[in-house]
Amino acid sequence: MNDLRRVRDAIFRAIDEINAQLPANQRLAKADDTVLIGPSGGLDSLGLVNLIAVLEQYVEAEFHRSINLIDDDLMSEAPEHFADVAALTRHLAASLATHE
Amino acid sequence: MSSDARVVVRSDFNASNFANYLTNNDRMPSVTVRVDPSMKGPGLLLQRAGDEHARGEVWVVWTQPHYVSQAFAEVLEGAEPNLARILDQVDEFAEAIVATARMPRAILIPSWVLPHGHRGFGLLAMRHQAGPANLLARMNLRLSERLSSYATVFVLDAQRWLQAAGADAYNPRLWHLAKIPFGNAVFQTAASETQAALRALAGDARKLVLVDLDHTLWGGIVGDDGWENLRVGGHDPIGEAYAQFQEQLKSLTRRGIILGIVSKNEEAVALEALAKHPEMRLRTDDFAAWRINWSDKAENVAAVAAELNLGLQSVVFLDDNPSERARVRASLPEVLVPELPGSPLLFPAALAGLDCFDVAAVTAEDRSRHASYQAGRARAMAQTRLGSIDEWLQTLAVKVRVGELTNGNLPRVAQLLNKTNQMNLSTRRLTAAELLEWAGRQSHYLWAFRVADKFEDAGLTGIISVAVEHEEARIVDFVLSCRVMGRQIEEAMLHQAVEHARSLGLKTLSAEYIPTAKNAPTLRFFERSGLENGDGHRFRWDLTRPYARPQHLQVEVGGDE
Repeated sequence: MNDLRRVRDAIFRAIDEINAQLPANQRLAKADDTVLIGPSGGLDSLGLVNLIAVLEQYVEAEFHRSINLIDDDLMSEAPEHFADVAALTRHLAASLATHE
Repeated sequence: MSSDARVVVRSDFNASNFANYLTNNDRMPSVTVRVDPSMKGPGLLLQRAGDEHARGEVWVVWTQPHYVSQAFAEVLEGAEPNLARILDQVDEFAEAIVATARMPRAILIPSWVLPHGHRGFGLLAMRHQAGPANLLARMNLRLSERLSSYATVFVLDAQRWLQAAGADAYNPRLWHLAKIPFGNAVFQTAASETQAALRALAGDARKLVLVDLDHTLWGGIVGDDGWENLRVGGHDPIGEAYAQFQEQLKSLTRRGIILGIVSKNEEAVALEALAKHPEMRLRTDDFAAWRINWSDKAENVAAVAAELNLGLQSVVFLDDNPSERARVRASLPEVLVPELPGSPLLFPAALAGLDCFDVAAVTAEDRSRHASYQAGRARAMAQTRLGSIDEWLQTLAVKVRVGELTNGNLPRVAQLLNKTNQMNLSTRRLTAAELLEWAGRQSHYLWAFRVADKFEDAGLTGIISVAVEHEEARIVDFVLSCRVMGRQIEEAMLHQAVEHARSLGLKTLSAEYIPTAKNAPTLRFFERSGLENGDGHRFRWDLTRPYARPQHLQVEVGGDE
């Protein structure tokens, strides 16, 4: 399995965990084009924090590497990294490559 | 539990994730949750003092020990322990709980656990009156002790939630980013346990476990293998697992749960195995009823429940066969049919993990319920040997003791009021404190009925309460345990209310039946009671006439029950 797919699988696992906290009609689809934040996004700020915290834990378990997605990007500098699942997948894969 | 439960979460951390898990799941009861702003210390509880809306709510008060006790926080930072100061601060917290304990329906308090990342100083963790783990245990014990006399306050074992979560118990990222001190796995278990507690408070605990036999209660097929070759006990891991499973089922009977058998087998062959296998932990006497035949299991499940006067919502069905489980699940959706693991080695853990038997209190009546049903079986056998119902009742030598509400019988009366579904006129639910307050009002009367016969002492099993309004005595509660239904205790209860109302010079006694999904037996009784039936649900008795007491009953009025 290539890294991109493993990253996407980790994101989907995190989505599963977050979905259990959401009403049925607000649950996130496990798809690349699922919008995470923004006017049509499914997560509020606490939801996004939850997703990232859980995702970092899964990534640590899967890749045996510690990453920090929160540092600057989440709050302001690059919110586009969290816009949808595809963007988050690319960002996470890039972060992992940087930390290799 | 039919309606939503209202839960208020009051904590000293961000409890949003817990609230979300509590709200968004398919378990019963459905829950509406409000999270109060987080606040540290006893002020957390005082912020809603005097709030009348709290009456129907259940509060979850979830705090962290180092916020409740500054002295304990200092120990975590390496300071000299001061046990007296720590316990004083626990007492202060307990007093704040007590001060508000009468406001909500119940208060659930998860026990305190060490904060994430604190090892408790390794070797010193459990040092007497000094180690953090030792002090934390003392704090929890002190809190439990201080709250022990409050029937609506419960300290929950949160340490078990952390154990179940394992390595996922903490997520430091959640703490630093959002002040959420535990991982989501902890909150998921906490939500599940909270809903189990809500079911227990509503009296929705399951009361009857029906088990299959072959490959469920023992290893092997008795009809093929013979009872001598069944796997139970012995030097055999499979046999040991079945023995443990049976012991766990037996232990349920000490908590008031009734056992029964539904099995496709030859009855004589199966009962011989229960009687003769030397390692069998359960014997025929441990089962209140059974259907061992080749009929449809769903029909048999319903038949056993009916025989024991229990609704299907009280039943758990355990069967190793997925097809039989699916059949019962589809035919009788009220029956709880848990999945059983493929390996019998896992049966004991699966049974131990069921939270459907949780109750708010275990009374002496609960502990003797199994014996009561055994006596019921003997009674039924006696009935088959006799002719009419009247002849049968005469032979039972039923004694009824009638008493008023006292502090001594209050817990049992409250439990009976809140658990009884079938013979229950209004299905009014009140906490013990609310009931005491209601019964203490002028013109309100409540009598409790203790029933015994030659087979058993069934204990406090009946309640009738009356409110006097103008010249009318209105029956508010008419509650009778299914254990004694059909023995004309119902008539004795009406007799008590009528005679008291006559002594007060009142003109009529009335009763209004409020239908629920479960209390049709109440309507059937009132329809045959002799009371005048108004519009189908309203009943009246002219108090110029006495209401006869069943002749076969020996009734004693007075005393505390």
